[in-house]
Amino acid sequence: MTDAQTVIPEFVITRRFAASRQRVWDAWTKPELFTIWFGPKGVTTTLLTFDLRPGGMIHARMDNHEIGGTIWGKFVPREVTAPERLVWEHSFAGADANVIPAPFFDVWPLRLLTTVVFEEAGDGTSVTVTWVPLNATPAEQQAFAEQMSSMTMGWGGSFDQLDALLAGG
Amino acid sequence: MHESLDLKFAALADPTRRAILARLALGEATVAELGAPFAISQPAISKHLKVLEAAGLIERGQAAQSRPRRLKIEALRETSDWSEHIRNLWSDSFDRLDEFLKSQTAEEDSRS
Repeated sequence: MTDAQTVIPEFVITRRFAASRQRVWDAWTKPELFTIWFGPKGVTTTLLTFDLRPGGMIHARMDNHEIGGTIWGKFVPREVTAPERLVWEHSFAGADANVIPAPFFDVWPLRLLTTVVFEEAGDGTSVTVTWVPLNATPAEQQAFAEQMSSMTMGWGGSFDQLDALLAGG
Repeated sequence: MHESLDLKFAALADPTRRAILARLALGEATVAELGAPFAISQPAISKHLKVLEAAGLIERGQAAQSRPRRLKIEALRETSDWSEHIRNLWSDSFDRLDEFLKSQTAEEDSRS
C-alpha cells in the first residue's frame, strides 16, 4: 500500500489549440480576452481585479445564468514567464477577495496550485493545466482526487440513484 | 454567494442528510421510514428534515396524515450542477478558448 501522505494527487488536462503560442498566451494574460473563455459552461466571468504579476491578484466573479447563483474566485500569481508558463494559487473567495472554503464540497483543499504550460506543437500550441492541492490534509487530498477523477459523478458512489434521477429529468 | 444556494450547500454538507436525500431519490417516505436506518432519535431525524426543508431540497406531501417527505428535484439539480461546473472548469474553458481562437483566426483570414 502506498503512503497516502507522500502521494499528492494531481489533476492534469492537456489540449492542443490551432493558434500560435503568442496568441494563446495573449488569450490567457489579457483580461479582455481572458473573460471571453474562462469559466464553466453557462457561467459569465467578470474580472474585478486582474494583476498578473507574482504576488498580484486576480479576483473574478462568476455568474451562472443557467441555474442561478454567483461565486467568486481568487488567484494569486506566483510565476509569469511569457509565453511559456503561468503558476497561480487558485481558491474560492468572497466578494471582498478573502479566501473561503469551497461552497460545493464537504471537504476540499483551500488552495490549488495551478500550473499552466504553453508548448509549441507543430503549427499550434499545446496547453497543459495541472492542479495540485496546496498544504491540504490527507482527507482534503482524497476528496480532491475522488472528485476530479470522476468528472461526471454526483455525490459519490452511494448516490447513483440520485445521479440517475438528476440526469433523467 | 446566492443565499438560497448557500443554504442548500450547508444542508448537503452533512452525511446523514445526504443519506436521507439518497433514500428520497427512491420515492417519498415518512419520517419513521427515513429514520429507520439510523441509530439516532426521531427528533434528531426531524431536525435534519427541517434543515433540508428550509433549504428547499425536500417538501411534505399533503395526502396522507403521515405527510411523507419527498425530494424537490429541481432544487437539488441546482447544487449538483454547480459542483459539476467546478469539476469541468478546465475542459469547459478549453472548449471555449478553442472556439475563441478559431473565431480570431477566421477574422484574420477574412481580413487578408
